Amino acid sequence: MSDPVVSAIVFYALAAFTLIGAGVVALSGNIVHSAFALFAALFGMAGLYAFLSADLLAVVQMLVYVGGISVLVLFAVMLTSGLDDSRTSNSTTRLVGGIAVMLAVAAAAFVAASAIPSGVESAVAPTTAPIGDLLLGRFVLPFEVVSVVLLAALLGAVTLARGVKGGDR
Amino acid sequence: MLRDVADWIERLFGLDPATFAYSWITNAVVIGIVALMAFVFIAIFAGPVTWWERRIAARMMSRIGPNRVGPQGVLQWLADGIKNFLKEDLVPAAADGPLFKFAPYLVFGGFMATFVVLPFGANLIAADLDVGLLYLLAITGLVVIGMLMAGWSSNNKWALFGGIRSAAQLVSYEIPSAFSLMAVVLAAGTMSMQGIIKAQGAWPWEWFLFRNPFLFVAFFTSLTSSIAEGNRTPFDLPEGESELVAGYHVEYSGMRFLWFMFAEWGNLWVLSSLATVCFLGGWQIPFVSPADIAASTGLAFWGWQALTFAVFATKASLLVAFVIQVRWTLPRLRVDQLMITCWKYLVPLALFCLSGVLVLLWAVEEKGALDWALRGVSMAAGLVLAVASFRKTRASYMADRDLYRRMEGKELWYPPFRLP
Amino acid sequence: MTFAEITQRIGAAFPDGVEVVEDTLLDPAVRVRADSAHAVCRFLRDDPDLYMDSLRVITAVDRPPDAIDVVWHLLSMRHRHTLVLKARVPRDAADIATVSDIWASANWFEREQYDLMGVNFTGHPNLRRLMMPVDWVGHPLRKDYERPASYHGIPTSRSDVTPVTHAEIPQHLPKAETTDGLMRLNMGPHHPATHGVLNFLLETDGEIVRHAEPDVGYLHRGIEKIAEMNTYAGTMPYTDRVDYLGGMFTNQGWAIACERLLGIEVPRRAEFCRIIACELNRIASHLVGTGSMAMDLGAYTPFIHWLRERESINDLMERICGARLTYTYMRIGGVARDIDAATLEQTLKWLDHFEPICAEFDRLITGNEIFVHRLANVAVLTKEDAMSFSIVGPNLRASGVKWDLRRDEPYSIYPELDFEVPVGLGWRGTVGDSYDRLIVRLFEIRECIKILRQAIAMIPDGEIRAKVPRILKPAANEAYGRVEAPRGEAGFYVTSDGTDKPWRVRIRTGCFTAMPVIEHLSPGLMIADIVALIGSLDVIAPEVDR
Repeated sequence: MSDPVVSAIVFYALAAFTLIGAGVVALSGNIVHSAFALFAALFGMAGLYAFLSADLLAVVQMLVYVGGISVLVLFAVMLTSGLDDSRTSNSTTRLVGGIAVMLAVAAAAFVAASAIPSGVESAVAPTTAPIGDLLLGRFVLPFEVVSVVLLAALLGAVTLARGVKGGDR
Repeated sequence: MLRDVADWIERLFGLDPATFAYSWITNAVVIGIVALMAFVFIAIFAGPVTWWERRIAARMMSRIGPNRVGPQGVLQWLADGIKNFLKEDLVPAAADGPLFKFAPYLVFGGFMATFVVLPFGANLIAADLDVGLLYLLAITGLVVIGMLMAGWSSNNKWALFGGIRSAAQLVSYEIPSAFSLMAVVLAAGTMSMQGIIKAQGAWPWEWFLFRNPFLFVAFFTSLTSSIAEGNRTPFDLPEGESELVAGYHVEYSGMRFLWFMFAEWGNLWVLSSLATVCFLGGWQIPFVSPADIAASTGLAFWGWQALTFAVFATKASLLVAFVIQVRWTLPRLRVDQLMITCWKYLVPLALFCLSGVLVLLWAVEEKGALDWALRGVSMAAGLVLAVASFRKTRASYMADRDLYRRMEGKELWYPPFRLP
Repeated sequence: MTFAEITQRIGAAFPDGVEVVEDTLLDPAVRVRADSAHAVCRFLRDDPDLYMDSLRVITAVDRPPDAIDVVWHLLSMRHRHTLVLKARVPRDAADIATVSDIWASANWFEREQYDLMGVNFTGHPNLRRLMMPVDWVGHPLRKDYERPASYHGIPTSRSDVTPVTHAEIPQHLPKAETTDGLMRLNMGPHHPATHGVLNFLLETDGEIVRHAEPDVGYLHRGIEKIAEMNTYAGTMPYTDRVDYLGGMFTNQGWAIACERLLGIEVPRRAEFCRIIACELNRIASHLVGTGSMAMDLGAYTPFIHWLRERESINDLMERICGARLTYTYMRIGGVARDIDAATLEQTLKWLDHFEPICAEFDRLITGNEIFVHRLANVAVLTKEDAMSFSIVGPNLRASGVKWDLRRDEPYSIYPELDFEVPVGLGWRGTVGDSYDRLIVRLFEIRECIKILRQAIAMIPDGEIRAKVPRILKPAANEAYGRVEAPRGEAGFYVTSDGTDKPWRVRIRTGCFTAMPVIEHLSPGLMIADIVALIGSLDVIAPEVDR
């Protein structure tokens, strides 16, 4: 973005949105609120990708995480907890351990991030074609392996679901 | 315009142009103005769609429909909007307050954000994203979350039922929708909306609809999936009025309810626009190429914009009318029939179309003999379909026309077949 | 078999069971001992020559100071004979064995008589109150019933108009919240698809219903009790409100019952007027029934088309009797006003207009694939179940039983008219599914058109009302007057005691016996199918609750 002030505002706003969402996920007493906050955190991530001009990644993040995984998590939360007991969720007794882990992860991330040379400004260009070339060129083996893993997960899910239903009848 | 707003703020707040606060306030105000403009723009599209739907539905039902507010009732939607805005804001006591209030905005936001990539004319697009089509598919995922939020936070078992059903339906039908649209992306070579339009032409044989038989079938799977995505009958189970009493938005009233309805009727326009862009050549005008339009200047440029907008609006409106007629004719599918339709029929069909288009892309040379042959076959199929439906409609009409003719001169209390 | 033969058979099988043979009544009755009533009923049902396969209605008649009569009206569709069976129980120990193991419809009949009269049916699987709230005190239809001054703080009479807050009124459902993962849903009483103020307590496993219990009584107005306080002629407007879509039929049922009691013969022109009004009403009722079934399934347009046609029928009715919905057209002894020639001509014109519109409806919706798939093979009601649950009307005919009161127990001038009785054949699914119930009604509309044309052609001149005394005081007797209403048999069992007010009036409607069928067929259906089932049974709340 051209104007550094505006880009700073946007970045901090998106980051705050994401972090607050993640905080609500971890600390909220209502599990449904946590699920919706997860959606907010992932949406914030998509915004950050867009901020970095990673257009395909942002859109795919929306499609997969928000449209797929958030909905999945919400289904799981709504269908397993009754209408009444959604108030009980994670208790915050492990706050100390959580904060410790968070600090450790943040430190590690800071160290890793400072190893990347800053100020690398790439030209704003559409990323779809290069990503496609890479996926079907250099990284075609991991791509295919991931698709096989997904297939195995899908078959496993279907088998499990059918097994449960078969057990009922 | 940014400059004018900046000057105005500078005068108003007495701020130094170089400060942080200045940029912050200026940008915020500009964003607010643009958002309001966008909202009004969308309202002007979604509102008349409701008017048109009610008039078409009324005609189909031997009624008249709204005809009081404004000439022929065209301002009815405005009156409805104002009325809803003035209604009491009811939030059920046991409902989850913040989620209940936020859900309509999610649904509306998911719908409103799609307008960013709709190409209304040759250069009339807010943001010609390189991943425009995928963005459109992705951002409608917000609607799913909003529905779940609305259904859950209403603290009402019927609302929850509706919310879960609708989320399942939308998520399921995203798949054949995406497959069909990926076939289009393959044929166009790009995901950008303007790029897809430019890959087609203005004449019917240049549209993707008739490019090859697989794309012809993909049009219908795409349209069906889009209707299902938009919760329209025959797929309106989530808000089946006679079963779930309005499903996930049963506890909403007044303006909160209107956000949902706004999104639903505006979505009609969005899905028709999507089908127009992908299959019907968008705004292309015959004999004029997009390059010529881009090169023109001044009055000619704006004239071309207006003309392309008219072409686009006409095509999208025809599709809107078709979808409306489908709604008021067909009964609704039961939820298991709906899922079976998606997973057992539409998904294999869309996948088949996708692979067919892939094979043809690789095997058939563009504008070669085989390509023209395929276009001819698709156009023939389209012609057969059009003629068959025309004949069926005409047979019904003839049967009724004889009945109506026999009625002439007989004295009945109402003239039910001569509506003003 | 005649009444004498039947009583002889019963006497032979139960030598000391028979107490009194009341063959002087208009509908001869045999009274048996209360403790052998159950065995007699079973004998009547199982004996191949008697084969009383249908229980029409169970009535409890208060006989102060010390007895209550329980009356069973039995019918054998196979042998076409009827019997009225009675048993007398003491008022303070009103116990009698249930017959719900013989006829499934007895379940709800007995619940209602327990609720309203206080007869305790021993062995009943579910003897709870039906119409009144579960904690109501007293049995309203008893002659010595005193209405409580207030119920949970709500005053029961207008003299006390102090507004009070009332405590929580308990639900009918006795069970606590389930813990086996089933979801409890209340479908109604405010619901667009329950055709009135009906409530269904659903237990669903996700989308599939495991149990649907109808919870009725929201529209109970006590018409039977009101009829005991009015004269015979004065009850006529109340019968309209029993079935507001078929007001002419309930009018006629009441008129027939009273005319039998009083020994009045209705003039021929009046009979024709009655038939014309009734068949027009049947068309109107079927239009609403089939239209709302389509609307419940999501097809809004055919319903509005049908309503457009019904507007013309309403206008014809207005010409005939002055009202569009609650007609009160019949009088005891005839009809209120004559149908003039202009109205008959308009009716013929309208029939010419309407007949092709039935074909238009079929083109629009009846053959639609989605519509067929929603209805075919959904909620199949077998023949045996239909008979056992005392289903009547188009629902019974759709299950394959060709029983139409106009043909099989003819009344009025129906023997002179030529019409078919459509029966369900499993057109697109199995016999007795929801689609059959729809098609039978659509065919019946066409048959009504035929009947109307014949009746209009054959109508003679003459009186429209018999000479009837001003104050109607029939002798002490009992009569059962029934007509084939659009929802089945509308029967009025009237007991008179010689005064100008009836002693006991029992109204038997087709929808009442259709409600337990919903409970019976619901396990395994989806909620959308429940809606289709309720619509296809053409249930109307006021008929259920009266």
